Amino acid sequence: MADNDAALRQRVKGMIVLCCRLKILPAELKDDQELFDPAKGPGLDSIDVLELVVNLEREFGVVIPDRETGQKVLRSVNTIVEFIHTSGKA
Amino acid sequence: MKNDALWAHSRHFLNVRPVYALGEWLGDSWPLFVGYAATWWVAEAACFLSPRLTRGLQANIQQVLRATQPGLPPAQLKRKARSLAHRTFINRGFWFVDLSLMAGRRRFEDCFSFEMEGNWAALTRARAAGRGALIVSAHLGNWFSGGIAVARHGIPVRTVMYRNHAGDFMDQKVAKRGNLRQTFVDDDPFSMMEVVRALREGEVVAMLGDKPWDARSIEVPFFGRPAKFPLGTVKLARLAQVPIFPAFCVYDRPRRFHAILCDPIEVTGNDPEQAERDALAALARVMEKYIAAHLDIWFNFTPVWEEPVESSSPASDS
Repeated sequence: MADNDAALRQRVKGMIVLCCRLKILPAELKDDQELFDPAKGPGLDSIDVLELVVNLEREFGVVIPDRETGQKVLRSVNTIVEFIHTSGKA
Repeated sequence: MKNDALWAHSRHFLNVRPVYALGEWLGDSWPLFVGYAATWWVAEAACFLSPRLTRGLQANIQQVLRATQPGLPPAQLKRKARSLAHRTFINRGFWFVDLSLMAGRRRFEDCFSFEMEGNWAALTRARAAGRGALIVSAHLGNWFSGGIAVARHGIPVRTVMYRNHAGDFMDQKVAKRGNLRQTFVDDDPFSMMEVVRALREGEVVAMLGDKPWDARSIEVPFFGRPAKFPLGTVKLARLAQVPIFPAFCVYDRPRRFHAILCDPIEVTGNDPEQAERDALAALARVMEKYIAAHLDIWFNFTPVWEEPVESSSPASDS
């Protein structure tokens, strides 16, 4: 279970780095880093939201239906992973 | 999208709510010629009192003329740009009257006519296949009317626009009367989620795609020089897998519109970044064609190119 979770985190980080074209390695992205706060994380923006929403659906089969859910789910790697788990797609 | 950037651009002594309310009252309560005549004088004053906007407009027009009429002597080019910039101010005033009338109580059918031109069949085909479509326009002619023309053509359309603007109330009235769905975007990075979702569910979405408000833009050739265009339109189209239809609502005289829908541009390819760049370059080429043909209704007062042709003094219009 722990191995699965670690692997899932790595996949999520890899997807974030790739689709948002971040100039860092996936491992450098911390689990609890605020993704949209430039002071605390990579400082993603509205264009990155589009990439994340579509790529989460394509790669993990999870649908983020609205803005409110997006604000909650896309906060950090932890919240994304949790959402994938609760959606039963892990 | 950064609200600061939008405000810095749109700050102007006429861009306040009371002016919009006055315009609507004039349009509703007086014969039409009164609204146009009053606006003519206001537009003359605005042209005189807005050196920053005038300079931006003239610099843009000069570049277009340089690219489209390369043999024009410099003195003649400057004269022509000055004259066109002045006429653009007046036309912008009339644009405002038209918008006020759309928001007001007069019957649409009595005030406006729409000629549908271009490849509307391609949009019908895309919809029949269950695909959404992204209609992208420029600050050319009356883009609000373009949305209304689409809706009146029987195609439900969602318009995307920025919140936080003095004309919000008027925009909402126009949208309601024109049967347009609206999505407002702001500086919340999640505000575009609704747009991509709508496109993926097969909706037709209309937005402007010629002015970059923040850092996410790409430089593509535009009238012979590189110019920044916002990345959002091509990114949306690629991710939602929908075609982009460049579209323009132009006119030779107020309230007589030609709604032109151009051939679709697909954002596809193995390399996503290259696909977006190619699509944006194609979009810019289409815009060039229609801007060159309707230069006096190209309402882009922000210098498009990095270095304006003429050096400018730091005078402000606000």
